[in-house]
Amino acid sequence: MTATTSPRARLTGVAKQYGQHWAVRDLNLELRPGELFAFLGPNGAGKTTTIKLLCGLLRPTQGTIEVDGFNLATHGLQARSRMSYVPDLPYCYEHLTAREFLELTTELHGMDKHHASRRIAEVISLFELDRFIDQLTERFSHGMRQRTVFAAAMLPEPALLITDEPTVGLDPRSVRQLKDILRAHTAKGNTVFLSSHSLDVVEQLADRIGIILGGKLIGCGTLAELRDQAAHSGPLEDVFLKLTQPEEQPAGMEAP
Amino acid sequence: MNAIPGLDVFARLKWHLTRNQLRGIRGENWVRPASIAFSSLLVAGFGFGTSLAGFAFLRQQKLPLGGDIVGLLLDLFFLTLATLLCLSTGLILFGSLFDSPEASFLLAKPVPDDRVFAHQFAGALLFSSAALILLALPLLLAYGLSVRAGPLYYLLLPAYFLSIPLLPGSLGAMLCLTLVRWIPRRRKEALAALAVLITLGALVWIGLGLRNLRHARSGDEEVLNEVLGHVRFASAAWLPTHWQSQGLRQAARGQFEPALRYLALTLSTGCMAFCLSALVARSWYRIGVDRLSQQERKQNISRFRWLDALPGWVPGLTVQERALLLKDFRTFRRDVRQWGQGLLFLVMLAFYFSSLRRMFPGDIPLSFRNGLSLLNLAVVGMLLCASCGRFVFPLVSLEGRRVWLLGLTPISRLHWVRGKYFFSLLLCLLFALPLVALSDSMLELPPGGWVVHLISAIYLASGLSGLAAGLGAVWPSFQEKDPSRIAVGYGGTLSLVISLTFLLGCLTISALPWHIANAVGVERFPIWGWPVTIAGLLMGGILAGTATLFPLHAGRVRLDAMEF
Repeated sequence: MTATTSPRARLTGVAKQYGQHWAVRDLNLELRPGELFAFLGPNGAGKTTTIKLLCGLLRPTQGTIEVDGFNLATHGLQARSRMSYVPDLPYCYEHLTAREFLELTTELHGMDKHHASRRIAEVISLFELDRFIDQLTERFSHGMRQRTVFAAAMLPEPALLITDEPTVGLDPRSVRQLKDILRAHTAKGNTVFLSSHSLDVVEQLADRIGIILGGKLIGCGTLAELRDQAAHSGPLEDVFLKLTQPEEQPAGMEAP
Repeated sequence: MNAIPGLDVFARLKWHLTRNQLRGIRGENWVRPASIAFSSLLVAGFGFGTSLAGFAFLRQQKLPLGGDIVGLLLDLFFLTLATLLCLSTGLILFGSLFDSPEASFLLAKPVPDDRVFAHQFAGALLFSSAALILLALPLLLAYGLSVRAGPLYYLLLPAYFLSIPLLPGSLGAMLCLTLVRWIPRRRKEALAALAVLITLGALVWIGLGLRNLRHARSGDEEVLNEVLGHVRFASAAWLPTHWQSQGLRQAARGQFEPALRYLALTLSTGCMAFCLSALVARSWYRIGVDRLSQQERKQNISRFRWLDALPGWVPGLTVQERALLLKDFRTFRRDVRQWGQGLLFLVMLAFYFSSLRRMFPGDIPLSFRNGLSLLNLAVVGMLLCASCGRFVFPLVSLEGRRVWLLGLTPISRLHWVRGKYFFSLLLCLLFALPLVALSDSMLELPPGGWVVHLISAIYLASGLSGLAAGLGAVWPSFQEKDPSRIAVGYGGTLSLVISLTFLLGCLTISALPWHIANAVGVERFPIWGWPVTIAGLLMGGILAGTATLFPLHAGRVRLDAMEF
């Protein structure tokens, strides 16, 4: 499969229903190789549901999701081997050291030992984990935990990195470091799908931005394209607020 | 695509986790592991002693230990154990598969679903098998000693222990996966309905047994035959629990071939069931996760709002304590899994108490009434003890990582603990007093007996609540989210042992004197009876007061010293 010609991920007519409530409706989206796609939306708009759908943790009620051409519903293993996910509340095994956690991640991704140890050394240096790499993660601060989980996610050099609120809890230096790492990752042809409320980070990093409201994608494009759509030339914050004004919110109980 | 990770990856993960945890324990104060070991030894020792005495009694009654009756008893024991293992593994696995961050982490990795299941299954089985070790090992060791079993028995015992949990555990796993796969939207109702069905079935079965027993009064042998006939199904040749019991009995006789055959049968059936459950998990696990997420988020929380008035009836509370009590009460009321178990026990006990008279065709002999009523009080106390340990002890821990919320409020830490205490006391009294009254009414106990029992029940409710609430604050576990794990952890186990000791002491001091006096003076209550009874009740009150106030104070001190 050639990663450069086809989309990294394709969501076609995706909808997700919780009881009577449609959390995501008729979502059509293509993530391209080498781009950093930012996903924005107010609380409860359907961002986390979309991320969980993209990771294969949830199944769409309608529609299909493909990663590098592999349908998540039918070829989940192949699709998941191409991605890494960093949730908003990073999970580490509390009774493992950071190094053991990284080793576990390489094993779960089926990486060969030689390649795995080389990558572990690289991410330890990249995320500056040396100070606490052999400590149990149970005593880690949120920031240390976030860096460890990010390092683990980067180990298999995922073609698609999905991350939910990556900068929360990080100090300014770590935020800067993370932004550089994400940029470098996309520069290698990989895709980053980033969900965040930090609009300044999104404005600096994103190649394209998608805005979801009431489960529907109400805007998608570059910042310039979104400015045109909102008929507003200000910063992303103003554009976002304009596009997500309450009066434009569609009824939440409709079927897609 | 890279290689698919094998089970060795998960085995290594478990090894690392266990090793690091053991290192953590080694670095801590030795009191903690020593207390765990001591508590476990105490429980196991009690089981061993009771079993040994039981087998000695059977031998005294000229019942051959290698005979059919003991075989049937062992069959029943293994069947009960298998049922417990099935249910507990299913329940623990539900949390591990569908409600744990670890499962979400693993499901987002390129790992086949059945391997994630196998990893979580191993953890759940290990956890639920603790009961097997604590209950079955002492009994089987006592059996081996009683029948003078040869080395083959002790050699095969560990192999049997490893193979016995596989089948019930796998059945529990399949039950859990099937429930989530097919009835996720009404999961709580389905579980409740299942529990009600099982209870009704058990009650009908017990009822039939009691009815038959009542008709069989011509002699002890007939009674025994009726009882044995009623449980004969446990010896059905197709039941794997029968194979286990048969295999161990053959091993005790030194019969190598049948003992090994039954072991192989047990192991292979268990492995087969495990493979089936993994197959079910491969198809249904991820669908189950998805279906659980689709549950209606809007819940009808106002349905039983009128019950929230109950905490308002508790006198002498401060505004803050009342608010905390209401919070705990609401949380408890909205969790069907929590109060459902309590209700189930309440119904079963009420059924048993109300069936007491059916066991006797004529009047219940006075000596029987005396003994039975004390026994019933002890059973109610045991249930209070178990419920406090399971539901109240974890309450402080369950504040979890949100504990700072309470920590920052202008509420004294004593109010926290007292809030939990009053919550527990309220529920215990609602549970215990009607049951004790029902038992005494069925046994037509004189008013004196009623008074002693009701006062003792209040003592028990207060002391056990104080111990659970206070010790829960002394040994909190803020990292753990699962209350059942908190309850069976270090603090929970130690608290249970202390509570059982209190229960025994309280019953001996406050209720036993009246019963002794009642037993001695069959015709007329002896003149020394009341002073002894009143003295017992006063001393019982002091004991209950100590068991209430001391742990609450210790809990307050511990919370005061705590940093969040």
